[in-house]
Amino acid sequence: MNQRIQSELLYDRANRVIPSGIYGHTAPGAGLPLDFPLYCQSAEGCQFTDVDGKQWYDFMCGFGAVLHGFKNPIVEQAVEAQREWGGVFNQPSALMVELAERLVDQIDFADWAVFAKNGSDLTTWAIRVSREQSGREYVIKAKGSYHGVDAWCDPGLGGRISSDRSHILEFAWNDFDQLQSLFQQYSGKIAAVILTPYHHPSFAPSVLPDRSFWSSVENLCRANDTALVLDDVRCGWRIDDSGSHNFFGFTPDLAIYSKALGNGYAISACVGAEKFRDGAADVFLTGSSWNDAYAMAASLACLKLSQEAKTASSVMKKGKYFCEEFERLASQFQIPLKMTGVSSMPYPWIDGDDDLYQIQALCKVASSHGLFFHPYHNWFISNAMNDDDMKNVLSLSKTVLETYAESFLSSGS
Amino acid sequence: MIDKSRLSTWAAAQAIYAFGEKLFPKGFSECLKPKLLPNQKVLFGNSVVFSDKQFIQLIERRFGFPSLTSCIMRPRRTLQVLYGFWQIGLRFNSHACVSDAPKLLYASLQAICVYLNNHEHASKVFRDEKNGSLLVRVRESGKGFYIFNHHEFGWTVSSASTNTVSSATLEFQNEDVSIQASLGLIDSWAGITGGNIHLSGRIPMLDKFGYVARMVQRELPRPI
Repeated sequence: MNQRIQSELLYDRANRVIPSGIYGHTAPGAGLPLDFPLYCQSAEGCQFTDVDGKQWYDFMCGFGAVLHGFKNPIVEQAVEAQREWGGVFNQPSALMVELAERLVDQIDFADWAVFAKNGSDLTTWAIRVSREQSGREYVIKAKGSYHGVDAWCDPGLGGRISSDRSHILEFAWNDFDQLQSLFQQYSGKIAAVILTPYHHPSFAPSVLPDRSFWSSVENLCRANDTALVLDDVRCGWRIDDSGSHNFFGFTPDLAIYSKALGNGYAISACVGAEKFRDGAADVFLTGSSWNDAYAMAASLACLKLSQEAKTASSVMKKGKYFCEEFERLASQFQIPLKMTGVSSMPYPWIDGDDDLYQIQALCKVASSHGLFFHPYHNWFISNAMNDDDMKNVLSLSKTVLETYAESFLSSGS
Repeated sequence: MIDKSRLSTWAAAQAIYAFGEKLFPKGFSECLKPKLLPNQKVLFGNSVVFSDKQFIQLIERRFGFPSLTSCIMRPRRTLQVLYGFWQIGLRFNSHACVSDAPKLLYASLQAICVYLNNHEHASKVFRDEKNGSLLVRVRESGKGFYIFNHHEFGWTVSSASTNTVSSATLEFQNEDVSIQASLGLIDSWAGITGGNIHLSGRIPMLDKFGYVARMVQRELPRPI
């Protein structure tokens, strides 16, 4: 029986009026095109229902945008309260000031904050602030890292000209010697180093920083008067309630947050050290609905919730339990699977599966049991997942791993 | 690298030769083997010369002439080449029969390889995949081709066996889909979503391959 009738009907309509039907990270080809639903109907807590009525246990959390669970009542209540006043006005609302104060108060190195809608808006802006502040042109990033959809960094292939990346340099994550040699080669020309808290590329296992990596990077940036920009868009509030730099023990100059910051309401923030205030004031920043008070109300509620409920340590703990159990079950069926990265955002990796055939097969089996496991992207643990959910998920996982092992490992295919 | 302005001509000539290799006996298909000459000319089978313009016109309007010298000096060879083009032209369209599907697929993959090896942007896009390989086949028949990076010739197409192991696999559900895809007549996004096109293995490699394939389909001359 075709379980995707509504999904496919919607896709047919979409493909007539939207190039490629669905684009970006939710494009069918970017996941499992015949197994994942194409459209979602509703979601609550750690589960969602697709347009064909199938219910899924969710391990993507809106690709990270939702930390406290879909339709979190506290966040929704805060937004509802703001609805009485309105969302976008000619001027910012008082919430913008309150949100900036909250971030400055909560994030140790932050002396100021600005807001936009997406991570990309502010990773690109932070680069420009670094350039404005230093008068330098070059920016260093880690190869394979994702920092957004702008031409200097997007993972796509089209629509670029060679000058888009002529001042972007790359080094291999954790290869401090390579980073150092770029500083030597481009001495006095590097405006910023932009990095994620740990390496979480798509299509590859996540890699944590080596013990001395962050302190070495920080010292190198300080010695060269180069801005250290932390792209905490994906990890923010999933590792530490006051910024992921705390967890890894370093201090950036600028940091960008989004995703969990609004629990599904579109908002991003860049916070910075005093030294960058002038540069920040001189780099133009605006957008049509960027002062949106609904998203700011949601964000304030999220920050409060995270601090009160110690959400980061909660999802890390839930993730640790899930990852350990999942690995244990995998090993029970002789599947050489490891959960890489931090436990609140694990990336599953099967040893020897460099070309990804095995993880694709595993995630296909999982989808037939209502588990939304992505084969190429790190998963996200929802803080809405309770003990019963966890029990159900692990029970389903056992069936999935057993079925996968029987079908794919014993046949050698 | 081949001059950018002549790349589509060269890729089209290679695709036609590839099709001829699968359609005609070896001796005959050699008369279609192309070589780029200076002054915007293409030589076929060491004897018949077309200007780039006439060759493209031959593909697009099925009406183009070789150089007068070729006609006068090698009339028989010229007729052979024109016959070869005509036979291929009859099959190089959406009404191609199922038995022509592998020939069309082989020809289109050859054109893509020309771009992977010679087009500056396409080569750059595929640079990180130099150690990878790609299996392109028809799911129902299991027949297909293998694309790999040959140490001497660069990206190369060869026939695949059922045991071929590759970094990534692109499968067309059946021969009809394969024909449409080879001719650039399929909506690849809808094909992937609807189950006519199956992707597995190293998805970033398939992304890049698809991007280059669409570039080739846009740039290559085709019957108007």
